[in-house]
Amino acid sequence: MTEQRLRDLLDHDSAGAPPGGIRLADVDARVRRLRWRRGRAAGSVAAAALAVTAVTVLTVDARPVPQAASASGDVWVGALAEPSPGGAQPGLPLFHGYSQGGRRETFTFRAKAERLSFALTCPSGGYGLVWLNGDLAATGACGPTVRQPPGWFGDATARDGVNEVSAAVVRAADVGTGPMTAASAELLLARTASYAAEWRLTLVDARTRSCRADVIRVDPRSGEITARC
Amino acid sequence: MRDRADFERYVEQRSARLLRTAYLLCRDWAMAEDLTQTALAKAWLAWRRVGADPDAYVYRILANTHASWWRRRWRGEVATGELPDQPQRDETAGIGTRDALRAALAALPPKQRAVVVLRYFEDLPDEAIAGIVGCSVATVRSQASRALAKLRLDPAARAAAETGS
Repeated sequence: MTEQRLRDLLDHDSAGAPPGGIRLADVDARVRRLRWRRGRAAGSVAAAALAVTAVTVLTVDARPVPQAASASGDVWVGALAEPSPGGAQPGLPLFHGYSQGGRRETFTFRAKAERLSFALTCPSGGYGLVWLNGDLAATGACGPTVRQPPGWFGDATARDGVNEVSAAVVRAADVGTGPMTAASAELLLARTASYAAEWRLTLVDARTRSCRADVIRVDPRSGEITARC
Repeated sequence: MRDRADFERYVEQRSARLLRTAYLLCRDWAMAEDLTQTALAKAWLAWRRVGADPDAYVYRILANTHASWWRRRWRGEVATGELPDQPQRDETAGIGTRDALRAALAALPPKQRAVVVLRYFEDLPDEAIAGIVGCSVATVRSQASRALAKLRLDPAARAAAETGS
């Protein structure tokens, strides 16, 4: 089984979604149900805490009164980076999905002065443009790449603090044969009307590229498999 | 500040793709719709904290929710004494071997399946997957290696590989 065959199978199997898809009204109904459940859970916790407080105060006056516990939020709160007050996202890796070609998409993030790798996953027949802090940092045709991460597009050095990344996907047929310069990239994008295209930009620390994901160690005695890095 | 319009745009643009990802995690369209709606609802409840990249949060909720549902369903399974209906064997060899690979994929534990789906369907780098499934990059790589080893070593998957379809 090759990895490409696995990709094809996953793509093929998930292509038959029932018509209608996900409706916003259904999501809103789910929100109301979640809020109701959380409200009920918070009420139970508060009631339990109140009962513990009452017992403690009645039996041991000198003990500190327990505080009512707050209801837990989502399990993943705090596990991932939250946006800073300035709107820039902290830390790598970052990955952003978009559904429009011919349109520049921009976001900011915080970094140290470090080497970044850009990976672009976009439909074949497309051509990607990536800017870092206003400079054209990476360009190229969409499609599989040999280097890691999948869809590797190029490297660039971030600066300390807030960095701005812009990216766009255009039709490869509209790209001329000459070298892609900052001016020609701007002109190309200005001439392209937006169109439907699913694409994704990923930013990772460039050091991870030196670590090959497909190299593993197999313990000859136990058969245990461990990643090289 | 992210607002309702942002969320509605996100649902409109991304829900179809999220539904496909959810389906690959659970292999059931009804459950995939449930998973996707739940993930989007939880994302909306935390929308102001989510930042400019909601995908990372939503994928994380999808993977976590699927894993917790899978555990619950596993505990709730009751032996009936009767074998369930077997799927019809496909007529063509190609489809038959794809079935074998599907069966091998379905037998993977939820975390390994999530790693496989995020890596080979969403094409996410291992660093991003580590953030989503809540483990180190090395663990993602070892989970992926184990999953691929199982797909290659599983008798059904091996048959699929040997017939070359």
